[in-house]
Amino acid sequence: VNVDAADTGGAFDDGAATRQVDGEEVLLAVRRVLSEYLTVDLEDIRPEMRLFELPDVDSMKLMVAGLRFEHEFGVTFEMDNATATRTVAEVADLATRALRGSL
Amino acid sequence: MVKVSANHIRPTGASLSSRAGGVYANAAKPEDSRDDMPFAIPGVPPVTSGYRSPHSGPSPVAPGWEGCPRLDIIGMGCAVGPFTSLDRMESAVYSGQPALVHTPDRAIGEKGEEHNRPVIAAAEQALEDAGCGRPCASQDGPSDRRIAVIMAAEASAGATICSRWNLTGPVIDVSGQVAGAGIEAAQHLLCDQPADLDTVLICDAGAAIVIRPGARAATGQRRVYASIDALMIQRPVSPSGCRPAETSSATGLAGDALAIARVRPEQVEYVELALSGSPRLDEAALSELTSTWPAELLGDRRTAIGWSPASERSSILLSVIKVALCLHHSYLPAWTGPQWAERPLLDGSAFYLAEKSRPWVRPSAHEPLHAAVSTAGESGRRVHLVLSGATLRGEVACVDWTRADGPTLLLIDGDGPDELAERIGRAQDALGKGADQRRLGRSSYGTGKGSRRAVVCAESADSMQRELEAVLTRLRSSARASAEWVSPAGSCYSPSPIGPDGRVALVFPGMLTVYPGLGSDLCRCFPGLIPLAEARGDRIARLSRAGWLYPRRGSAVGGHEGVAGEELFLDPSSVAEVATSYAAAQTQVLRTVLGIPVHGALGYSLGEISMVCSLADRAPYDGGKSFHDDDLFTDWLGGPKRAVRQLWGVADHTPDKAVWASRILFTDAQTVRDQVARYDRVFVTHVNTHNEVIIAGHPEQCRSVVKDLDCPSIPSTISYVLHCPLPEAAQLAERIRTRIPSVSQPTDGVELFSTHNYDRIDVFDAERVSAQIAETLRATVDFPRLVEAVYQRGYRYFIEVGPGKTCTRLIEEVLAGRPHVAVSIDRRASGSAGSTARVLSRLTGHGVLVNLPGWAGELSSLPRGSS
Repeated sequence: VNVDAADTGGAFDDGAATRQVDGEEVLLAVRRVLSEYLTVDLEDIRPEMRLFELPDVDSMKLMVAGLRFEHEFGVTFEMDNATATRTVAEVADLATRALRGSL
Repeated sequence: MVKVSANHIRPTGASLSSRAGGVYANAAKPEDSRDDMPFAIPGVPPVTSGYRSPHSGPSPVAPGWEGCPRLDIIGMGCAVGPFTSLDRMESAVYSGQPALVHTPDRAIGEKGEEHNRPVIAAAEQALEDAGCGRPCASQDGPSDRRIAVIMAAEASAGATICSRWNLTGPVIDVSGQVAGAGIEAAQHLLCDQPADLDTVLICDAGAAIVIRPGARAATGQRRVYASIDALMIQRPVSPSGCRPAETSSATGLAGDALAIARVRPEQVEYVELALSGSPRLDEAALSELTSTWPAELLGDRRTAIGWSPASERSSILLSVIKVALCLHHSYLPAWTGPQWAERPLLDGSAFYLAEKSRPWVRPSAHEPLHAAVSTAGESGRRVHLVLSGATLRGEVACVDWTRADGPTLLLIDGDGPDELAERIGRAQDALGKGADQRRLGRSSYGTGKGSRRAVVCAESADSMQRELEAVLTRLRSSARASAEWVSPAGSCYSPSPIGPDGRVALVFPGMLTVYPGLGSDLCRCFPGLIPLAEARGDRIARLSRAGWLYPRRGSAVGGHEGVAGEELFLDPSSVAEVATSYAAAQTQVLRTVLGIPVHGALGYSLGEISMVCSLADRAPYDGGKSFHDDDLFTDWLGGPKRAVRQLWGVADHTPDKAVWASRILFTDAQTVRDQVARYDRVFVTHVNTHNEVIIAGHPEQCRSVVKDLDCPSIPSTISYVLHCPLPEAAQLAERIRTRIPSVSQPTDGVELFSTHNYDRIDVFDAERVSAQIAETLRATVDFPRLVEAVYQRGYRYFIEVGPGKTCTRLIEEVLAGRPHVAVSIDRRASGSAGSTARVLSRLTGHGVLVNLPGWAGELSSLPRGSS
């Protein structure tokens, strides 16, 4: 299956057209949400870290962080088990692409 | 023959004279009625009047409606600002627009034809809606309609309405009276008048309703939006000497209204507030309400509160219509009032504000919903009404796709890219010329011919144009790559469709995949689900009452209503129950409403219970047995995990986290199995894919396994003692047995697959099925093996029902590279409408036969043969 959003790993696949989204802002938003749910400083959520390497991470925190991201940005964002093997930057990149297609 | 008269109602009759400030025709209104007197006069007690039987005692608290039945609302109309129809108003209420902000003042006196236009428009809508026909021409109109008209505003419009509709009942002018006087007058009229008058039209500023006495409306099989069960109006003391009806309830007027309606406060799940905007008066009104609905009485149940602005002369009918719409359409409306985060009266009260509209499903067909309207005008006068639900929207329409703003599907059929491109061009032309996208979509269902199909999924004409363009640009590249293409919006094209011969399987996920807001628009898209679930005995009402699913907070401002944390799983029994009910509801949508051919099903872990409950033939639930009933998840397999403590001899004071842990590992399944075999207190509980495995057991041994394997992993927060041999088989089977009603083999030939034997369930005896499921809960879930077994039997379509899309992802990984379609009917943030449209798009794109014409035509009833 060649889904336009399939290269997002299934994490983000909402939307139809495209819109301008600043990738750096999305990365910051992803880090901010993660830092909030992991209760660690923003600086401790580094872009190159894989999600499973984040301090005190667990499956519920990832899921809830995903829900929070959905709530704020209005896209489907299933930060599930599979996402745990990706880096923060990769997740933010997926989010950026999804948001660009979510209008 | 039109009669316009104010003399048909007796201003001084026995029943009227006992009501201070009762109902007066303007012509007969006593000069000393002092309707403009503020209610709070030092030393002078306020005076109330209320609906009650003329034969009842003097206290309005005393129940006694024998002579005055409830009022059934059988027609409604609205013409307020941009809300020129009832549907527009309903849409605004649902979406949380402040529909009633610009409530027009009720006018007194003659203001001319132009000024009367809204009230006439609202009245005509209400009459049509009530099935009273249409306005008549002067010569060939229908026979006289014996309908009374009560004008609470724009009295001069009464003559026009009567003339256009040939209404021959009395016309009563209560304009200038307090809010609610129109309803009060109607009640007395229907009580006092002869039997030939059983219908009353009440007109107010921009709003109108048609009512009938309850019993008579019911006999006519008429749709009833809601019933007005009680009305209490607070008035100043009348110096005319009329004996006031005393407020005897400690909870004041609102409590009296509830007593008259014979409804307990905790039964009222919604209160619509119409407040003046004056902090002092509003807080006084709120204070009375909080004493009527005390937090300590309601506990976790709490009551939703809504808002509309009010003035002394604004229309209470708009509030009544809003509440009646919510009762009829089964939802609690979003709060649209001021930001009250700091209001101490609400914080700590029994009331909560809903940030978004949410489902509101009656407990059963025999237990209607209850709501209240409470107003306080600038002078502080209060009016309280109690309403109850009647006919459900689902009894009128099975599908409400347009109302739910669901996306449109457009099917483009052809024998190859060239033909498809040509037809896409035609569709683009049609849209360019202004064609309606829904009509264009409907015209494509059931007419196409060709070996290939592109499906466009779009929410508007503009987005349909964009999606058509996207399909056009992908047709050839997709064909060259022999790869299916799916757009983010859900449009799709497959150069190698699987076709209608592929078998369709439903996939039931584990029960712990729920999330806040689950299914919030399911019943809006498919209102027919509610009566269907009631008939089957499904517990769909519990979906709307789970506080963790739809949080009930005092303030909707600044909170993240859609986000919750661990509190989601504080009540795992409730979670399991909701997941099962939700999966059953979605199964009904797919099979009964959309007509998707379902040949089989499989479940992940506890999803097997959902599968059996949803698809096996069974008796309706008796209502007494549920996941709520015991400590299976909260104590035995979860929480302190007593099953483990007992078996391993763990002391009671040992923290739960030191008893049991679970971890998700991302490495080869067989490697994990080999490593785990070296330990005695750790188990492989789930093989999700060939490279994703869950282990559980003693926390130290789990950590040790991960360290040995040196693979990526994360802790699983929620971990029950399942899929390992620790739970005792007979005990587990007995617990499951109480949750599975008597089942028998599906008569429609649906195959149910289980991890018990990685094959079909072949014995449908409740005892055996329970025992088999218990065995599956004591063994590793090997999901890839189950999926392979199902695939080998010809299943190519996998539709995940229930919360989330976890299983969809797993199936895609297991079957990667092989022809299949895996989709989820529940995508978070997409809502039921978006998710359903995507599923239909993929299925029809591959040639699965779906009842698209019925769906798009918005079924008014369930297809024949449905249960």
